[in-house]
This record gives sequence, structure tokens and C-alpha cells, in this order.
Amino acid sequence: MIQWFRNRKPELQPVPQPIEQAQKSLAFNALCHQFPAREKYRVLDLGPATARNVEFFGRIRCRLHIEDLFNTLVSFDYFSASGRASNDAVLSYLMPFPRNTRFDAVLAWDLPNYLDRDILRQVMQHIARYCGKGTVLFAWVSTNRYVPETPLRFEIMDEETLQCTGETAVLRAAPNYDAPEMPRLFPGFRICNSFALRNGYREYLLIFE
Amino acid sequence: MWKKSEEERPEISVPPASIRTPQPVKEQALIGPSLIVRGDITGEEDLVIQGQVEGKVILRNNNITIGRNGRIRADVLGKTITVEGSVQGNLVAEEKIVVRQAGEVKGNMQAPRVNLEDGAKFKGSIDMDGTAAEKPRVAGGEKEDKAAAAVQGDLMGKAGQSAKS
Repeated sequence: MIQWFRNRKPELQPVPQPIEQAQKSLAFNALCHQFPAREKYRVLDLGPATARNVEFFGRIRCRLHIEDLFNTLVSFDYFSASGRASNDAVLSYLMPFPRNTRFDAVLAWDLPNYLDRDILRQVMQHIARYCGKGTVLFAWVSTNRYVPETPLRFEIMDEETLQCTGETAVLRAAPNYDAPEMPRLFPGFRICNSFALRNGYREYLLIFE
Repeated sequence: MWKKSEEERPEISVPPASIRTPQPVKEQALIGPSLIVRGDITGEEDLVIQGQVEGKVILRNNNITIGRNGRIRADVLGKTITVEGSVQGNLVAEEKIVVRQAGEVKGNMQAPRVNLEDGAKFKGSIDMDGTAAEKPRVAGGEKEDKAAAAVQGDLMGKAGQSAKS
């Protein structure tokens, strides 16, 4: 996993300005209404911490776990005296959730576009251990040939609007995962809703069974 | 010639006793940038940390600021906690936690209100009440997860011991 991140080289393409747009999101709106009635919600945010997202979830009784997984994986510098650690051991070290944790929602944002198939499946397999029946997962998967070199920054404006900001104008090849692959890439989840967006992304709402 | 009669002596007005009473000055302690503290810090005054702290910081009724030069590996319990430096540990506040743009926190945060400025780095969990208008949670007064309860219970136990002494 670590080698995969280090060997990737950006493809320099003549590109327009970095993305910065407010996007209506039917899938995120559906996620907000999918939560079962509960005293306290647990949300796993795989993106970086943003003031707006903390403020949004601060309006409900919630424990918000922020993992910033992309930057965590990129900056993780590991060594093992006995040899290469398994990816499962690395993921357990990087995301050591309490054993009895059960997330109500997982916000993967556009992270799937930055992990190859095996790594994405292993990451989601690890997260699935902390999901229960009814856990919803939100993800954007690109149908474009290229995606920004680093994940977009998602800020929740309200229950149906996301502000998406690209940190860089440099692009890389997109993996273009399609719908039939999703159950294999997200073990335990099935597609609940899926919407094609004009910006070339398809947003998915998956539910854990 | 120089002697003045008593009638001519200027009157010296003496302000009432209540005005003369000096106002209490809010104490604020400082751990400077060259200081390294290993152990538990307890007390009854505000604290600014610009140095390094390893252990626990328990100032339940006071404001704690981890300044830009502050580097702490500690659990922190305070009234309000403001982070401008680096924290590895759990933060529990009776009123509010603020992580400034330059701040970096790895650990869990628990407070009725949590403010994260854009640019602040955070990894961990944030336990939020749902509304700032709610009465601040008293540590141990509500059902909590084991992890948060362990932090709070441990910190409150120490605070209780220090208060008695």
C-alpha cells in the first residue's frame, strides 16, 4: 500500500482551473434522512477536518470520527523490524476504533478514486467491521478519464448541498469503477441509490446489510 | 507666614472603603517555550502552554491555551481549551474547545461546543452535544462510551484528589 502511494507520478495535463463548485447532492440528502431514530449518531468521515462539517454535525447529537485517510496513508512512514507489515495490520494501526464501535454513516467522499482495487477493498473490509445493518456509506466515483491529483475538499453547506474544492490543477488517471464492481469493492454493502452528476462523477449511497 | 490655620488646610478626600478594595487579578500561569514538564498539572488558574508537557493537565474551572509553540502529549481537562500548537491526547472541556488554524490535534475531543478553524488539522473523534444552548455536560453525569468515560473519569478522579488536598 505504501509503495503504491510513493510510486504514483502525476500526469501533467493542460487543465482548467481547480474545481470549486457548490453541488446539489441527492445522495447526501438521502443519507441525512436515512439515519434511524437514535439518541446519538456515529459518523466516520474519511476526509480531512473542515469547520463547516464539524459545525453541521454539531447540530445533532453525534460522535464524529475524522480520519483524513488519504493524507494519513500518504504521510505514514512505517518500518517493521521483522519485515513488511500486512496491510490489515497497518489499517488497524491507522484506524484503531474501539471494538464496540458501530458507525451509522461513513463519508468516503471521493477517496475511492485514489485507491486501487485491492487497497480500496481492504480499506472497506476494515471499516465494515465497525458497521452494522443499516449503516449508510456516501461516495463519489469518477466517470471521467482524469481526476485531480489529490482528493477534493468537501464541505457540507446544508443537507443537500456540498461545496467541492480542488486543491490542485494537476490530474491523474481515474480508476473509473462502475456500478457492478461496487459490492466487491465495498464488502457487505449494496447500492441503495446512485446519481450521475454533470461534473463527471457518479455519487453512490450504499447500505450495509 | 507658612503656618496655615486649620480651616485653610486642604481637605484630603478619602474614598469609601469599597472603592479602595483592590479588584482581584485573574491569575494566569505560563509554561514557557524552553520548559519541559512531565507529570500532572492541577490547579485553579488559567494556563498558557508554550513549552512541552507530557502527562495530564487538569484545570477544570479554568481556561487552557496551548500556544503556537506548545507541544503536548497529554490529556487535558478544562473549562475552555484553545489549541494553537500541537496536541496528542484527549481534550475534555466544560464549555468549549477551539482549534485555531495553526493548531493540530490527534486525539478525542469532548465539549458542548467545538470550533475548528479552517486549516486546523485534526484526527480523532469529536463528541458533540447537539446544541450550544444545552447545559454543559458534567463529567460523569451522563452515559458515555468507555473510552471517553475512562479519560474523563481518570481526569476527574485526579481533580477531586487535588481539590481535597
